[in-house]
Amino acid sequence: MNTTEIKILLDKYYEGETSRDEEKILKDYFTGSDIDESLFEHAPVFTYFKAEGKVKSGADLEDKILERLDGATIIPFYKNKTFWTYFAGIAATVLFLFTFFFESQFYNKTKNQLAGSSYTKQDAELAYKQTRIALAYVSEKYSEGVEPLNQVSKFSNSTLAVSEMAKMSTELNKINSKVNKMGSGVDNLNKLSKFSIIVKP
Amino acid sequence: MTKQEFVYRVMPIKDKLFRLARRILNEIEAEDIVQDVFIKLWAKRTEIEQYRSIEAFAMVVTKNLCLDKIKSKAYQNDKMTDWNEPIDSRSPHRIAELKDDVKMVHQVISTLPEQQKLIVQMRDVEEMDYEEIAEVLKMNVNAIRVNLSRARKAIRDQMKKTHNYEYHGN
Repeated sequence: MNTTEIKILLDKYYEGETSRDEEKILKDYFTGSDIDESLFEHAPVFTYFKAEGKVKSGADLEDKILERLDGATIIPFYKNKTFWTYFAGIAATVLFLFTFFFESQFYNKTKNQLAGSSYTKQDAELAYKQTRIALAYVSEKYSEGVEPLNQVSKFSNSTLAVSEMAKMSTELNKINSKVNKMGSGVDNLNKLSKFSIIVKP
Repeated sequence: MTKQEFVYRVMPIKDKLFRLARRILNEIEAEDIVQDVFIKLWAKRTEIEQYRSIEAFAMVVTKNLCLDKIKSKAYQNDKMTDWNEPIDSRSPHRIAELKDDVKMVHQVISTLPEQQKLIVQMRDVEEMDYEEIAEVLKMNVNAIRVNLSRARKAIRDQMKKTHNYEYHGN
C-alpha cells in the first residue's frame, strides 16, 4: 500500500467513514516497520490501539469469578430480596382473606341470635318503659344539680347596685355647691350683724 | 442454561469486558466490575436470550456498571493510572521512540467524554462493527459515526498540540 492510498484512508478514517477492513490496513501499516516519514505522527495512535487490544485481565480473575458464581448460587432463601417481597405479599393476602372470612362468620352468628331470640312484644314494651323511667330519673337529678347555679345571676344584680354609686357622686357635687352658696349667704349675714353692732350703741 | 454452559460461553469475553471497563475506571475497579458483571449475567441468564449475542448483553451490563460507578459520589477521580507498556516485537529503537507518544495517546483518550471513550474502545481497539456498538450504547449508527469522528479528530489535534508544545515550548 503506497503513501497516497494511506493518506486517503486516513482522511476517511478521521471522518468515521472507513470500514473495518480499511481500519485494519491502517493499523497494520502504522504498526509495521515501513512508515513514511510524513505520516509518522499517526503511528502512536494505531500502535496504542493495537497494544490495547491485547491487554489481559489479571491471571486470577477467572478464579475470582468462579468463586463468586459459586457463592451466588447458594444464597440462602432468607437473604433473597425477591423472596421476602413475595412472602410479604402472600402473607398480607392470607391475613386479609382470614379476616374477611371470620368477620362474616361472626356477623352471621349475631344476626341469627337476634332473629331466633325468645323476646315477646310485652318484654320489649317493659324494657322501653323501664328505660324511660331510668332516663327521667337521670334528667330530674340533673336539673336538681343545676338549680344552685341560678344564684349566679344575682351577681349581676349587685353590680347594678354598684353602678348606682356613680349617681351618688354627682348628687354629692350638687350638695357641695349648694353648701358653698350657703357659706357666702352666711358671710353676708355676718356683715349685717356688724352693721347692727354699730347701730346698737 | 447450566452454570457450566454459562461459564463456557461468557468466560472467553472476560478480557474484552475488562478492557472496556478499564477505559473508564482504573484496573482494580475494572476487575471488580467484571466480577459484578458475571454475577449479574448469571442472575439475568433468562434475559440473555433476547440479545443477539451474549457478548452484546455483557458489554451493555459492563458499560452500565462503569457509568454507575463514576456517577456515584464515592468515586474518586484517579483515572490517571499509568499505561502498561505493550509487549512489542519491533526494534527497541522504535519502541523507545514511540513509547512516550503512545503513553500520551492514553492520556489524551482519558480526557474524552465517557461515551466517546467507549466508542473508541469498541471500534478502534476491539474492532467491533457499528451495529454491535449501536446495540451496546443504544444509539443509532449515524450518531456513533459522528461521535467516533469527533473523538478521532480530538485525539489527533490534542496530540499535535502537545507535540508542538514539546518542540517549540522551550
